[in-house]
Amino acid sequence: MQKEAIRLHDVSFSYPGRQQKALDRVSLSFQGGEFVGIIGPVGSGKTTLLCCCNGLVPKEIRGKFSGKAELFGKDIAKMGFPEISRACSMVFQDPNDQIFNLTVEEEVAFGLLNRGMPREEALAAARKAVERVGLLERLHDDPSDLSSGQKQKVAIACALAADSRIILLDEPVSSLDWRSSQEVYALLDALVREGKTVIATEQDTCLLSKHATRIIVMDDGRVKKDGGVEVLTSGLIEKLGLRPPAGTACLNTR
Amino acid sequence: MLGYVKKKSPVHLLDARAKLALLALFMLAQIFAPLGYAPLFLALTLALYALARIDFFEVVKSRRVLLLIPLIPSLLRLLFEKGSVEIAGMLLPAGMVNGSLNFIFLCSLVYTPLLFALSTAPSQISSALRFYGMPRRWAFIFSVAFVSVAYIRKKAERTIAAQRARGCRQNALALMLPVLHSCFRRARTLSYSMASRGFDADAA
Repeated sequence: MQKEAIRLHDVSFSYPGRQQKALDRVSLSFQGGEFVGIIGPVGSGKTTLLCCCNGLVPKEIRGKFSGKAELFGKDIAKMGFPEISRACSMVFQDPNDQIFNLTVEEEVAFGLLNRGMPREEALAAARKAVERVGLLERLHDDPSDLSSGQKQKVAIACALAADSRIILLDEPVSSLDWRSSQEVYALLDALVREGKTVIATEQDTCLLSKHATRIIVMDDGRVKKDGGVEVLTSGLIEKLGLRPPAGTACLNTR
Repeated sequence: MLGYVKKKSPVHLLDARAKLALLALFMLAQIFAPLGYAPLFLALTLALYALARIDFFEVVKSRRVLLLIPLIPSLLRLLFEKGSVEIAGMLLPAGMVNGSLNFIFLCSLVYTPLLFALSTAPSQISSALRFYGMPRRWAFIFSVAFVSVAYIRKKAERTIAAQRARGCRQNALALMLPVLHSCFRRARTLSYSMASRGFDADAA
């Protein structure tokens, strides 16, 4: 295991106008090279937790925040987004809400151009990332013409191009078919092997059981369980109204 | 409505900065020329559409709401302007003549900038606006707004279909609310996504 990538210390957050806490005294740390799956019912705080990890909460998503979040030992509250984005990329649940450029190439290069990377270099890196997600033949196409699955792959390519050490994914395969989901998770596996930290919220317990090395179960803004993939078969998953993996044979025993 | 139409016409290939300057000159000429020249300017606008290989009448048909801009003031002029004007020895009601010319003038004034939006990629619009001194934040807002038009249009079509499937017809509120909600949600997530990709609107 590498150096601690993210540390959340006693983090609580509630959205404006809501009494209920989206996150309630959450303390977690994520190590370099981990593949963490976050699971929980809708509204359990999974996405808010991810947004805390890259500073969107509370810098962009305002609300009542307490506690401390650290990225590679630095207080996220004191870091700007250009600095955070070098260390941490995020893939949102609905790619339609995040894609806005006119070509796949431009979309993927956007983050790199924001860093001040020369255009030619940024486009070359974008091309490489697009190739990695298997969409090279659509490089110059309008992303709005792509299928939902392909759009999601473009969003993942944006994170790959950024080459940041942490990749946060909010239900990355919710709009993909089974084969594409497998491809995406195989890609995430490869990233973990390269030493990157992957943190994904997911509803598909079977996918998590095959690929994740650590599972965090959330409910009502709290961490209910944090452990290995055996957590998925502990009975808690069913109790929270989630579907447990089809069989224990596919559990990741790494 | 304003979405970019990808083509390889001479108008599309023209540098966005030059296009913007020419557009400004063309519009100023229209505004300051006597109303009698309006048909000439409309003819020029139609020629530019032909050069851009964009079907003008298809544009008008698919963006009917824009016709209200020239239609309403022209109708008011037609109905309320008194007197008569002499054209080729014939005395015609001033309201009819000036109302018609006003309609032609305003059509040209509305559809020429639209051609600029239809034939220029949003990123080029943004660069052109910045070239002429617009702050980066505003130029970027313009370019994202142009791109988002296609999204809003698609969303509106889907919402209309969904509302019709529920037996709802001609209910503007039932159409507007879901589309607005969706637009606000998209704008919010887009800003999060751009922030998380290191976008700084005020950076040089």
